Amino acid sequence: MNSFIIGQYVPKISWIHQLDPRTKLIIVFSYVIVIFAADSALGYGILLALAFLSTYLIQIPFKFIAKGLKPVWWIMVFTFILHLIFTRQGDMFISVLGFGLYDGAIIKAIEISLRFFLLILMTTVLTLTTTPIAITDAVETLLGPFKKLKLPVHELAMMMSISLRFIPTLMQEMDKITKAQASRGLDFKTGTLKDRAKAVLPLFIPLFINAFRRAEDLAVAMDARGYQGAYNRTKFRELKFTGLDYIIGLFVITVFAVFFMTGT
Amino acid sequence: MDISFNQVSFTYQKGTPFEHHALHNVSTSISSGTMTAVIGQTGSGKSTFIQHVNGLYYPTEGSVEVGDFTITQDGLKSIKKLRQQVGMVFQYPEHQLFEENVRQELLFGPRNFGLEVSDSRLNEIFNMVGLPNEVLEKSPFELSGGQKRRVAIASVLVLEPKVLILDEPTAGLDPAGKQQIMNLFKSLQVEKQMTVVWITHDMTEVLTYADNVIVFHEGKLMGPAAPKALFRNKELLAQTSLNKPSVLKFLDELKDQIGVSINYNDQSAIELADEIIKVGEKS
Repeated sequence: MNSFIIGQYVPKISWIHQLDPRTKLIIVFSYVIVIFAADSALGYGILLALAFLSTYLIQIPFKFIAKGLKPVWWIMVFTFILHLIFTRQGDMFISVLGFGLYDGAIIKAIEISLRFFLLILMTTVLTLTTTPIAITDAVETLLGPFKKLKLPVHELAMMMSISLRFIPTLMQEMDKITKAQASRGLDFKTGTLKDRAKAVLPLFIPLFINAFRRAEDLAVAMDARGYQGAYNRTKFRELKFTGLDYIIGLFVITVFAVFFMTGT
Repeated sequence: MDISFNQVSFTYQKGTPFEHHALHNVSTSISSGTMTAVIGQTGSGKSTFIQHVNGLYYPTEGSVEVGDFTITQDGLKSIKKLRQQVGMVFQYPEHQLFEENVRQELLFGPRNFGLEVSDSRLNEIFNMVGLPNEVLEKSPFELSGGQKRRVAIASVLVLEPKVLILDEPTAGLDPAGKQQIMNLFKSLQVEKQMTVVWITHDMTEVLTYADNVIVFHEGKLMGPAAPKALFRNKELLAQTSLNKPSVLKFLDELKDQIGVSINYNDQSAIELADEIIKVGEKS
């Protein structure tokens, strides 16, 4: 569980770490849109290059990232196989036990798993280089205009940062409960599927009860300190674009513009 | 059961940017039937140390021997047998309760290990931890904090372990409750020859109950020592930022301010008072 890195932040001093979270969020968001618009080998080549360039720039060993994305590899392999079997496009060239293998299927399978890979890699680059708090700050600022439409933007951001804040706490708690029950002889690694499903209860019941208790404590603590939502609140950390943001932002916009103009 | 650590080192998340060395070349032994306190500042490696004893962590280097079991970095096949004999009570153990009533909660461990527990045995353990029998049929969630703690401790004692490992068992209890729980562990040690190892930040607890003390400082072992010898070692106390128990602080002050010097030999508060009065009458 510890090696799983989605959503984990690794403090380093790199260009990408120093970017304003809004810049990163906008880049990743547009990148995701572009992924689904990509349609040619050149297009995917550019996207891959961009993804590997940013992975290189964040100064975190690729081996660490690859290892942390292990569960994702399996999902990729799974989608690849599914597409291979069930897509029926192009010409069939082999038929095994009633299942035809089409050349269109191979292209589709590669395309879909590649898209999936790029999606995960880029969002992982975002979360590896940006603290959860910075991400929520960016979301709140970027959604700012919607406040005029009476959308509770601040409250949404607050909910988001609270849930992100408690992920490590809950992981720790889970770790402790798992060990405590293992010490009482609970075995959730062997046995039939039914036994293992049952073995999850002694872990999840205490975890949920503790989560509710924590939520109540937090609500009381916020009340006690006079929290009133967005009303008249200033920020401790003001977000500011720097020269680096403009340079990198411009670079990425140019790449995407070329991308769309050439129709790749 | 004897416990011995042979040059044990432990590293968290080895090979990642979060790599953290928690234990450095720790060698020590704990004799069967003794009561050993583990002290040190937060993050000094105490919890990592005790979790090696029932195989929740495998040493990155070195080996841990518990009775006839030997745990190395490759783990241990008979881990379940080891865990049956080494009872572990975590910090705030009341957070692990989950069954619909206390009886089921107590029977959870024995069921996992395939043991039968008679009702009279349950009642006996309940008396031992100081809970009334009617609590057995209640939901663990309607009990008070102190009662929950006792239920959690009972749920480990019901397995009749030979070694009992406790991580701050008295944290957050009222003074009377603290004393009661610690007396229980002491009696288990004396009457059932249980080996007790517990983590604590309460130095008075160390002075009162421990046969030996193991001091951790930044993942390294300083000690083991007898409690009284430890609290005389000013350099070690300063280096590891540990406090003296209040009774020793009081005797130090007495010596510094009034010039009355009294040796501490486990006297009770009343005996100490008598001694001070005697000294006062003489002068």
